[in-house]
Order: sequence, then C-alpha cells, then structure tokens
Amino acid sequence: MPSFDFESQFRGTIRQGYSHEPLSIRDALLITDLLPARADEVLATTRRFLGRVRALDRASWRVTTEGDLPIIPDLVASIAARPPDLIVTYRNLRDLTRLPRNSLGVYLDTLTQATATPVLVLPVRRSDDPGAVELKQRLVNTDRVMVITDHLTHDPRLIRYGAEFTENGGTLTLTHIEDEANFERLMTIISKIPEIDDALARRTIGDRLLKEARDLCETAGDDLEAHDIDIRVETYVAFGHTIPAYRELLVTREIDLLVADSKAPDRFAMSDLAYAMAIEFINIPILLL
Amino acid sequence: MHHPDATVTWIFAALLALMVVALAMEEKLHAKKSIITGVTAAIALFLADAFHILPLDRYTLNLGDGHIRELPVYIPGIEWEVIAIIFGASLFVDVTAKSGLFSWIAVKLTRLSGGDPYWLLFYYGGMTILFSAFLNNVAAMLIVGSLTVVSLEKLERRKLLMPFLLIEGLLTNVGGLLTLISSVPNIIVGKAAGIEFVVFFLKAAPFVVVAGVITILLGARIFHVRRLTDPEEKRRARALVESFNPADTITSRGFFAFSGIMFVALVLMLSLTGFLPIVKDLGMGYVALVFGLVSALRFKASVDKTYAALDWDLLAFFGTLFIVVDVMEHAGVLGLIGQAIGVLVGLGDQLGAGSLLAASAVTSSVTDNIPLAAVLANILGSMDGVNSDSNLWWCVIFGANLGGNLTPIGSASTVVAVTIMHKHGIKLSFFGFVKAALPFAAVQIALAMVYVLVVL
Repeated sequence: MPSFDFESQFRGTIRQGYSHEPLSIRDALLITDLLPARADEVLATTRRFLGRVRALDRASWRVTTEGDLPIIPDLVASIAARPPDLIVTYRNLRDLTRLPRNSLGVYLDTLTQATATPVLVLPVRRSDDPGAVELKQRLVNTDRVMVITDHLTHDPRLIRYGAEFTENGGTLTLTHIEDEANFERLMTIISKIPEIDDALARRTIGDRLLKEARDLCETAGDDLEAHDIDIRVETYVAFGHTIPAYRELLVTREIDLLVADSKAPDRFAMSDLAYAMAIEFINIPILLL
Repeated sequence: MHHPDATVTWIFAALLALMVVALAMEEKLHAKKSIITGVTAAIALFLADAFHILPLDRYTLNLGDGHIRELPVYIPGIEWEVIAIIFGASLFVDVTAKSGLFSWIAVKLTRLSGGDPYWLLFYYGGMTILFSAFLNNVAAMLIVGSLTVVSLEKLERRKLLMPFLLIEGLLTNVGGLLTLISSVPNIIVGKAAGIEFVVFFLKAAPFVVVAGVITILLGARIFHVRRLTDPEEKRRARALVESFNPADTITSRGFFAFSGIMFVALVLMLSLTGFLPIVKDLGMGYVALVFGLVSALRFKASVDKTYAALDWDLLAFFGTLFIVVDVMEHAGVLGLIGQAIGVLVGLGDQLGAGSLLAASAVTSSVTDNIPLAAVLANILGSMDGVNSDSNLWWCVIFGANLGGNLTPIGSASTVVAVTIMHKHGIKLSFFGFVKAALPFAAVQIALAMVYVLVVL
C-alpha cells in the first residue's frame, strides 16, 4: 500500500486559470479639491495619461471640484446613488498637509474601502510643490503596467484591469513577491518541530508558494495571447522583502501604472500591502481595486 | 509428533475462532492485524509444542553432502513465495507511485471525461478495476478515491462523493479478481491450486468486465448519476476539469518513463513466469522482488525511507498468519473445517460448489478474507479429487473477494472507502453501508455463481 498522499498530489495539479473578458468604462469620475480651472488641468493630464487605454475609449468624464466636494458620508452616498466605473483622485484631499507623506488622507482611505469602484490614485501635488511639474510630465502614457497579482483571492480583476489599462504594444508585468520574512518565520517554527523535516519543508513549501503564483501568471499570459490582445506579458515571481522588491521593479522596469488589490476580507481597513504601497510609492499612479 | 485428540483440536479451534473475532473487531481493540495474528501464533506454537503435535523432523533442512541446517519452528509454515510477491510488489508500487505514473493516468482520464459525472463514473470505475488488478485493492482505492474527492469538489458536485466512493470501493473487489496478483486470496489460492498467471487472467477477465459494467450502470441508476445535457453546463464542467494539469504529477520525466516501462515489463514478466526458462524455476516471488529492487534503485541513497514506508503490519500479518494456519493443520482444526466443507461439496457438483462460494462470501464479509483463503486453500489442497482444474478453487476465489462487498469491514479497500467518506464528513454507518452495497454485492455474487457453475 503506497504511503503517498495522493489527495495532496491531485490538489497540486489544479492550476488556477485566468480567463480574460474585455472591460468597458463608460463613466469616469475625477474627484478633486481644486478650483475649476486647476481641476480642468488635472482632467487634461489624466485624459492624456489614459488616452490610449482601450477600456476608456467610450468613457464620459465627470469632475468634482472644490466647490462641490461634499463631506465624506455625502460623497459616498452620491457615489452609491450613481456609481461610476472608475474613480480618479489623489492623496490628501482637503488635508492641510503640504506634502503627501505617511497617510492617504481620509477621503482616499474611505473611497477605496466604502465603494466597490476601482480608484486610480494619481501622484498629483499641490501647485506649490517643487516636484509637481516633474510628476505631471511623467503622466504620459500606460506603456508599462505592473500588476501585483493575488492568486490567493482568485480575483481575476487585477489581471483584467492591468491588461486593459496597458496600451497596445505595451508591456504588462505580472508580479508576485512572496514575503521572505514571513516565510523565514514559518521555517523557524518548523525547525522547532521534530516531526517535520526542515530541508524538505523549506524546499517543498518554497517551491509550491512560487509555483501557484507562477501558474496564474503563465495561464494569464497564454489567455491574453489567445484573445489577441496586443501587449507583451512578462512575469516576475520570487521571494523577497515586498516593498523594497516592488520598488526596485517599479524603477528598473520604468513602470507607468501599478495595479493592486486594496480590499481585505472581513475588515474595513485597506489591505496591508496595498496601504504600504500607497504610502511608499507616492510618485507613481496606482489603480486600487 | 502424534495425532491430537479431539479436546486438543477443539482448544486450537477456539484459539482460531478467537483470532478471527479479534480480527473482525480490529478497530475496537485498537490493535493492528499483525499483533492479533502474532499473539495467536506465539500461543499456538507454545501449545503445539506442549501437546507434541508439531512434526519436529520438519525443522531441519538437508543441504546434501551431510550438511544439515536447523530451522526455527516458525519458519516452515510460512509461504515464502507469497511473502516475496507481496513484499516485492509493494516496494515496486510504492516507488512507482512517486513517479506520478498512476496519478498522471488518473488526471488524464479526468480530463477525458469532460467533467460529465456519468462519464466520470465510467472512467473512474474502469480505472479502479485496472488499478486494483495491477496494483492492489488498497492502493487503487487510495488513488481513485483521492482523485474523486478532489475532482468532485472542483466540479462542485460533492453530493456525488458517497455514491462514487461506494461504487469504487465495490469495484476494487471486482478488479481484485482480474489477475493472480490482484489480491492476496488470489495469490494464496492460485498458488495452492497451481493456477498460472495467464490462465487465471483468461478465466477471470470475462467476469470482471461484465460485473464491472453492471456495477457501474446499476450505480448510475440507483444514485441518479446522469449525463450533462445543457451546453453551458457541459462547457463549464469541461473548463473546470481542464484546470487539472497532468504534467504537474510528473516530478522527473526520466523517472516517469522508467516507471512506465518497468510497469509494463512487470506485468509481462508475471504473465510469462510459467513459460520462461530459469525464471520459471525462480518463480513469481523472485520476479516481484527483482522488480521491487530495481525500482528502489531510484532512491538508492535513501532506500531506508522507502523501506520504512512499506506496510510492515501487512507483511508481519501474513507471516504470522501462515504460522497459525500451519499449527492449526497439525492440530486437526483444518481437518475439522474440512469435514464441514466436505459436507458442502458433497451436496453435488452444482449445489456443492454454489454453497461453497456463498459460504466463502458470507464468511469473508465479516472476517478477513486472507485467513479464510489460507484455511480453505489448505483444506482444498488436501482433499481427494480436487486438482487445479476444479471449479472449487474459483468458488473460494470469487467468494473471498466479492464477500468483502457485503459489509464495510469485509475488505481493506472498502474500509479505505469508508475512511475517506468519514474524513470528508460523510456519515455512513455499518448498516447504512450494508443497505447501500447489498444490491451490488447480491448481483455480483449471483453473477459469480452463474459464471463459475456454467462457464468455468
């Protein structure tokens, strides 16, 4: 009688597949706390930045300016009453903070969690910020989009939005950094359990953690190719310290847009990784789903 | 040594009966089989020597040229050929399973079914029969049962888990009839009767095919397993089973190919053992041991782990059981049972053989079929006029295998099926199993009677 655990082996053969469906954004809402003239400038920058996004081909834009930006409960209620397909905004709306450091601001924090609509966070600064002009110049196109894939939530929207926001001929980078610190903590615990072989656990758990993420990225690449979407798909799956590793990828691959999941199950607060990225990566547009 | 008187025979008969009851209550006693038979063997040997019923001249081996080797008292009664076949085949199956060969076949068939429950039942049923035939019933049930759990979960058809596992459990005992090495009763009885591997296969195969198809069709009907007709449902089911990637079962392509070749070669060698020079003299046990050894070369640096994974309880069980049966023979217990069998057989060619099959089936439904096969093979072997062509051997083989389908404790593979059910939260009581399995077992046993009495 074989001592082998066949049930585990069979579960291991199941690949989490990705099946692409086109995306159509008809109604986009730009939320600002600016005067109308300055808000129009931001709208123009945004439309130029997203000008070649296929999903936005037939989008109509609404803009909220300083005068009509309501208090948060009313804003959430108005969005619920007429939910847009995409919200575009930036950090620290109506905050006194001069520079976007250490927080997203209460508006953005609430918008990402209280609405189901994806939120595109622009790296817009106040006009008196010395970096504002430079940032504006960087919002040119979505030629290089990076998705933090999450194979654990089985949510295909991340790759779907990433693919649809990558302009034709561009590059979509599907990434997954497995947190090395968490892994090492687990391995330390395992090293104290005599019934579990440390070396075997390190090798098999490590391989399996990366394999599942890699499988999802690979099937997504195959499926997007099968749908004749004119983008190049690259995959990066590895162990690492998440924030520094993603930061390096953003820099070395000159990423124009980052796509990540902000929702955490069973709680109102934003997911830990998305929050950390939104705080750390202030110079890059982030699409939070 | 002298012939035991009736009191001694009854003392040993009581000991045998106690062992059989203990084996039936194995789980209640929290004792493994080998412990039960081991304790019985120790007591039996002690009493046998005390009553002077063992032929002590048997315990020397004349090697020629005056060389005499003394054998321990527990050695001569053991059927070493049977132990060698079980050890070699277990080692081979354990190593081959790690290559992913069986899982690859299982995943391929799952995809081939397109996720349609009806075809899935047919493919899994067929796979159960084949795996039972060429591996062993427990391994077959573990492989197919595990895949059934995973694939039905994936297909969101968990309600079908009990019917599928039940039918697969019942089919292991049908598939266990296909070849001489498919089940331990086959090995014991086939060896005692002198039935060749190929002859066994040719005689058993027609029954296995018919009984297998009938069991699956009956199962589909009783448990309402129907074909998918809605195109959208079909498309979705196909997409779900296609997420199984057979390539993921293979850890090394070389090892996989090697295992495939070795598996085919083992079946061929076992088929040809009776015909090939030299190999014919060395026997099936030698063939199984060599194949086990060659497959273990893959893990030559860590073969201790491979050995450790073997089912030593099973091997110790066989070894000690043979000792018990040997002592029982000298104590006159087998002669006593043989008289009862003689009464059954004396009912006539048809009625006698039919009664033997039915009695074997009923007995093996509540006791382990291996002691039953060992005892009956010993008795039939010593009966006048019972040669290898006699259908009485087949009555024991069919009865001992199919009787296991009457109760959840009747065979190791149905125990595995019920264990998988319990693990996944499906409550099926002893009588619940009997009620669900009875139509299948009754049809199979009736079919076996007709086949043995009319066809063989």
